[in-house]
Amino acid sequence: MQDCARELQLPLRSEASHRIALPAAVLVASALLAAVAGITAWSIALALLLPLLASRRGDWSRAYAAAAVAAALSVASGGGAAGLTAAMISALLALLAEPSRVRRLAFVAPMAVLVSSGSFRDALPLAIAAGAAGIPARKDLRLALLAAGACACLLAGGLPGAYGTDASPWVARSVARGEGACWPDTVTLDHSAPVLLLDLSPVEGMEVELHASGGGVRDGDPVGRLELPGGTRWDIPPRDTSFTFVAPRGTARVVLSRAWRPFEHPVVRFCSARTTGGGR
Amino acid sequence: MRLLRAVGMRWGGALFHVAAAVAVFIAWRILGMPSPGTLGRLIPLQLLLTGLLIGRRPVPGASALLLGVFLATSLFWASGPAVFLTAATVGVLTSFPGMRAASRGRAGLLRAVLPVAPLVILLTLFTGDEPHHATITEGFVSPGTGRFGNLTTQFGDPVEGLTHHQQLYPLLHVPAYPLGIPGMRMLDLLFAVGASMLFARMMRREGMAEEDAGDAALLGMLTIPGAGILGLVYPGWCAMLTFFAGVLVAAGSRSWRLRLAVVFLVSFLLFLMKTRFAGLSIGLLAAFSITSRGWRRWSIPLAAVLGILLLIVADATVLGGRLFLARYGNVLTLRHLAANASGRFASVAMGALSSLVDGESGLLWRAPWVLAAIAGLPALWRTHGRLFLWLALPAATYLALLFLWMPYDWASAPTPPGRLLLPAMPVLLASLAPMLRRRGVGALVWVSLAVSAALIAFPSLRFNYFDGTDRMLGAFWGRFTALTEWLPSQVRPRLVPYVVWTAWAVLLTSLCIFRKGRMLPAGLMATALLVGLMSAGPRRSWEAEDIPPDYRTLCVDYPAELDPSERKHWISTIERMLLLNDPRDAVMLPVAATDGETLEVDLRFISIRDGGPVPGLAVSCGASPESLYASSEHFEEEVLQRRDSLIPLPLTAGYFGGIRELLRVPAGTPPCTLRIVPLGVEPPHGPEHGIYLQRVEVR
Repeated sequence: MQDCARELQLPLRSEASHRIALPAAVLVASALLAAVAGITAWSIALALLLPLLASRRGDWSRAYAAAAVAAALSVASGGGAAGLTAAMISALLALLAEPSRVRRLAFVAPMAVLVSSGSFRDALPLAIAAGAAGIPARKDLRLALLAAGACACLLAGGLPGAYGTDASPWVARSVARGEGACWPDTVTLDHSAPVLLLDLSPVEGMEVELHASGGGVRDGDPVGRLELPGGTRWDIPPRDTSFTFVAPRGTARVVLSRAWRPFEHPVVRFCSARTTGGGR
Repeated sequence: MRLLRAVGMRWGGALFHVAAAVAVFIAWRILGMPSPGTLGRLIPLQLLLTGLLIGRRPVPGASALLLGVFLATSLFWASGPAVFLTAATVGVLTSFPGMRAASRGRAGLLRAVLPVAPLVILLTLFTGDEPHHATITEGFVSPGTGRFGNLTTQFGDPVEGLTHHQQLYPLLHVPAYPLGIPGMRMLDLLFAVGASMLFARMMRREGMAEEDAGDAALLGMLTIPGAGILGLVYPGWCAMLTFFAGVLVAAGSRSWRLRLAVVFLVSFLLFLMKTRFAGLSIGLLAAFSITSRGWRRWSIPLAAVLGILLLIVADATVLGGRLFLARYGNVLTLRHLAANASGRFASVAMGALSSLVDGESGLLWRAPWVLAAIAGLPALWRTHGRLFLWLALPAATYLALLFLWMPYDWASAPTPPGRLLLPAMPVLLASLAPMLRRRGVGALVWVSLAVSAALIAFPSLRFNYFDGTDRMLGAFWGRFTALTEWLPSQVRPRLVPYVVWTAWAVLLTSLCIFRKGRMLPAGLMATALLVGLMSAGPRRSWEAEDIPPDYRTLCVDYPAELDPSERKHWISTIERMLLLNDPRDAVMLPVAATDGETLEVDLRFISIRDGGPVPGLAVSCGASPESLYASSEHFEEEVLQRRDSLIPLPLTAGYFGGIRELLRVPAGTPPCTLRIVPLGVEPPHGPEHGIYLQRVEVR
């Protein structure tokens, strides 16, 4: 049990001075985070999670040390999707490692905050399973319940995901090219970043040629979609494709349209776009 | 049952890693994670190889936990690119405890790094100096074949047809040439393993515990800077192999004459491998001189000076200067060195400090183990004085030469971070070894290993472009993060980040020693909090080139080429800028302001008038715009010619003076957007015409 704590050299046993000092320091830290980042689901979850982790008495197991590291990563993230996920994983690890039933159930609270606030999509089955996993004393049973919760997430809604402060879609970089413009950077869209925006306003009325390709699927059905302002839509099939259109005013969207399915890794690659001199 | 248990006890580690490989492979596919053909196969292969090489050892304690963390993180990979990056990083990291277990025993270090070889060799782009070294190798075997791209010239070459690289290192690759890129990289991996084995042997000989020596040597390969070029065609590890071979003999018990001959030979070979390794040679000779007695002590420096003079004469007369004079022995190079040593001490000191704290290439962010190692140096000096001398003196002379020669280019961007610092690492690794038992130091090592794992899984994150932004930071914290503003950057230096992070590095180093490191975990948690506060806070200042496409229309990143070699000789600034030279260009930054409030907008830019009217800027925030017109002053020809008569006089932004203007802009109805557009840029005008925006601060 103590090997990893020794490996990570984290506190092996709480000393008397730490019993007050550590939770107090953690509370101050949580307050600082909330003051800077605002009262968000992330800052509330961390305000619940950090004192719980810090107030642990006795030896720290390997999983508990990892929970502390995940919490530290979440703090360092500043509230992005990775930070929300790290907070969730920290709570899950602490739930697994914590021997006290009361404290285990307390670790469900930060998860409940994250899920109920809408910061996580499709993670409700996992949160319910975590609530149930707080009860049994046997660790393998807790692990089985959490695994069942993860499977339930996949069966019910697909891949669970977090919405962090960095959740905005990608925006393609545009460069002036004579009177027109081009979007030279290749961007790969997958389920972690499924939308790309192209601002067409500077080239309104000009002819635009856009190259994209789809892939990572086992059939010939469309993988993504090109959506123009005004409602025009084209499918992006799983091969190299070019689109030519007269740019309307507004923002075009390149979207990964495939839902998650096991054994498929759908991607849409936006290769480039440029004005061709036609139009107006 | 008993049989199964016996198999489990004896082959537990092997069975676990094979099972983990299967689990990772299946999870990757069920969850639909990206890159199934590369990372989705290579990470399971890494686990499988670890299982095959770990032998009869139990399951390392941390492996099962890391596998669990990988599966949990993978479940959420669709949350964002940073989560996928984290999942893949943990996947690579899962093998590391097993690799450490495999490193015990004979040839253990070779067994330990083989699992990562496929990832390194197959994933990392063959770029930087690698193809140039390979092309020189090709010149020895079959000139003009063009297998590596027929690369003839490179930035830094003295003339066309004469490369600035030395020939010895590429010559060593001739046996591997038929096997192509994988063969050449495999040879470099063997150089690294050989160097680490000699290093471990040396530490053991000097009285260090077997386990400590093995761990330190393995960490040298698996953490930055060693991991950055592990298995890549760069001469760092080959030089370390030569150096350790020399030190082993020189610090040994053979006859003085033989040791002297070996030291001179190794010093010469190091110089032949790469001119900058002459710093190591000087240190090696100095250490040998110090450890000698009587007349031998002063005769070695004398012989070294005579040898260098003889070498220069031979180079000039017999080799036509190809060894040294044509590359670096010319007057301008000597003037450059003299000027750095006397008049640019601040730049040299800045380079040395930046090697620790710079956001792009500094070791603090990529290899925090260095902090514990620095804390351990006094103890190493006390307990293993001879080891300290043989490793520290060459490291010091090498670093002194490096920073004197390349105060700005010590990172050699865009090549793997810290690769030029590798020769200074042995002494730090040796001082780290006894520190590994201290509380919290393990956490620093794990962070360093995690960074290496991320660079192994995503090699593109290794290549920074000396533009002030770190690719790894951008990948994990996202494109809007305010953290960039708080990290020190040598290319756009600001006092506060340098002071804050240098003080913090000193604090953490002190915590490694204070109360035997008991307070270090608290210091690390405070670091996480500090980083979190910096990144979570609202953003009120932007380096113009960092403004993401979300907040701008058109505009051009200037210069378009990312390679810093284009900027390194600029005079007014060496940072990238955002060029606004089209009437449609605009920058739109979100600001928090109330209706009627007056915002102070601090603008830094360069304005070049090239054939059109004087360029200007209009700044508005939902109300009437404020505008200004200005033209930067071009640096005078005479000034340039006094500095260096060979530099031509380009009419590009780096040779124009910067302008700083403070505008007071009334805010309109919230939510407000600060809109900055160029004025006086309607065509026709010359290609350099426009506003080169450097920095925007809103108060």
